[in-house]
Amino acid sequence: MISASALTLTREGKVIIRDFNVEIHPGRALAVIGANGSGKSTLISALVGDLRPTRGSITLNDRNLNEFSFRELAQIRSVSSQQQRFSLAYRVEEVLKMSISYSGDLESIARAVEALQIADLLKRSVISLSGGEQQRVSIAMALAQKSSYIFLDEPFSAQDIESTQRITNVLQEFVQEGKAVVVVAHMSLKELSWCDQRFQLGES
Amino acid sequence: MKRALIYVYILIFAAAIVLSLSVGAAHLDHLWHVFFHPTSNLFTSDHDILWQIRIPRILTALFVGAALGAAGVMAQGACNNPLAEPAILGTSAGAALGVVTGLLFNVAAIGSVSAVVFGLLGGLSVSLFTFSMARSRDGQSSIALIIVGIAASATVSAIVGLTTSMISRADARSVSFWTWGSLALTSAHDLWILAPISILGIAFAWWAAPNLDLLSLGDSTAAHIGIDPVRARRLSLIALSVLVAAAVSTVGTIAFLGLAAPHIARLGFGPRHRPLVLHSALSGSIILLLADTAARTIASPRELPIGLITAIIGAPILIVLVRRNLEVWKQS
Repeated sequence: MISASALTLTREGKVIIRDFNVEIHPGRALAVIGANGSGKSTLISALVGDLRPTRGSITLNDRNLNEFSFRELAQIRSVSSQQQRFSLAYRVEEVLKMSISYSGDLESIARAVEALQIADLLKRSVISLSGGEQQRVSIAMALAQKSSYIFLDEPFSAQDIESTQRITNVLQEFVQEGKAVVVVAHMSLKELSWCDQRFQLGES
Repeated sequence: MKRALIYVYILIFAAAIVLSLSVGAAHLDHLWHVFFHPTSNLFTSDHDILWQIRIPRILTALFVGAALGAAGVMAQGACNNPLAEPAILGTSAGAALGVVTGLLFNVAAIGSVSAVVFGLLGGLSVSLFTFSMARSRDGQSSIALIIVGIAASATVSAIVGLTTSMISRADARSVSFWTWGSLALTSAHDLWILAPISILGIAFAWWAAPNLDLLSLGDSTAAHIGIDPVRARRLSLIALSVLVAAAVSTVGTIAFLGLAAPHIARLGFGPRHRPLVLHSALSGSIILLLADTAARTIASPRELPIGLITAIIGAPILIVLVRRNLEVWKQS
């Protein structure tokens, strides 16, 4: 379980999140909803270990998140960022292999590719893809990592209805398998109605 | 396709070596005889020119070119920036300052291990300075990195120029040597230091290269996948500084090669950094060998600054290749 208690997060001296408490349990889905600038991405940065809290603590299975190595964290949680940057002309299959640098589990890539139906993209250069296709590759990378906690920042922002449904189905399957899914969105989407818990940021 | 390209590369490499052996200030009537009979006592003049001057110089060009080609991969990969190269980051100027400092205090000589050590310290210091100054909360800013790097490079190069101009000592070389580089004064002795350090540096770069693939996805994603981006970048900068120190402490500063070689190799063989280290080293070797052959023959017996030739050969090739394939490195 990931547990954040009395969490205060600041960026450049400005308090973004104050006294926030949340528990992320395996087998459950959590939606974090809030307008632009409400601190969603800052909160996610802290929960995945990128940003240290100014006050309060974040623990993963009762161990402080700061105590985990990069490698240990990669085996436990995976992240699909809002705007994943692809700058070099790797083929999509090469990028997906990067996400399993430690596990080397090609089967998990095959599963993610099949679930998101991106097989036709595998041989293409990742920088030639559309924004929506790149987003699906980023989500596939997070899924292929075979972690117990999956964080997705705005996974539907560049997707059409069909792709959104497909991604939702995959995430629901992961929850049924006992994994935790955390989805961040800027508005309350009906696609998130299945989530067990919903947080609205920017409101008291 | 890539295999065919490798054969083409090897063919060009071999042709460049044959060309470089065949031409020079002195015409060798018995070139191939003395080449295939290195222990023969016949044609001593041709023998000495080939084995004591021409071949050591060719090997020096190959090792320096390979070192700078691989160094360019480390620079671009560590900065995740297509404009990064040892001369722009300040690594070359820092290495030159390190070597000149060693020379001034009589604790290093051009082409010695101590010169490489001084070059390494100087190159690493200025690169780290550039990096730390260009760093913001959200990571590395591409524009800031290039501006800070150019400014740091210009400042340190000016200090090197002023120092060498003021002391006017032959062993400290000239301003031209530290600005454009030269292989004119290299000897077989230099290879004893240059060759092992270049090979070691390239092996180190090859070992560090896979993490640069992950760094290209951005620091956060690299961290999420399981590598420490700061450590990965630091290792690449060390490899970069070792390679640049080996080159600069032997032949001075040769700009542009570290920029052109990785781009040329990437266009032919793709962006994966581990093979790129080797392909870029090979590209660098070929370009520098051709450039040096031109530098010593065009205005023979006068020597032209090699940095000018690398720019004249490398720049048009780079422009043509990049124009044909603009979608290789996309800046966000």
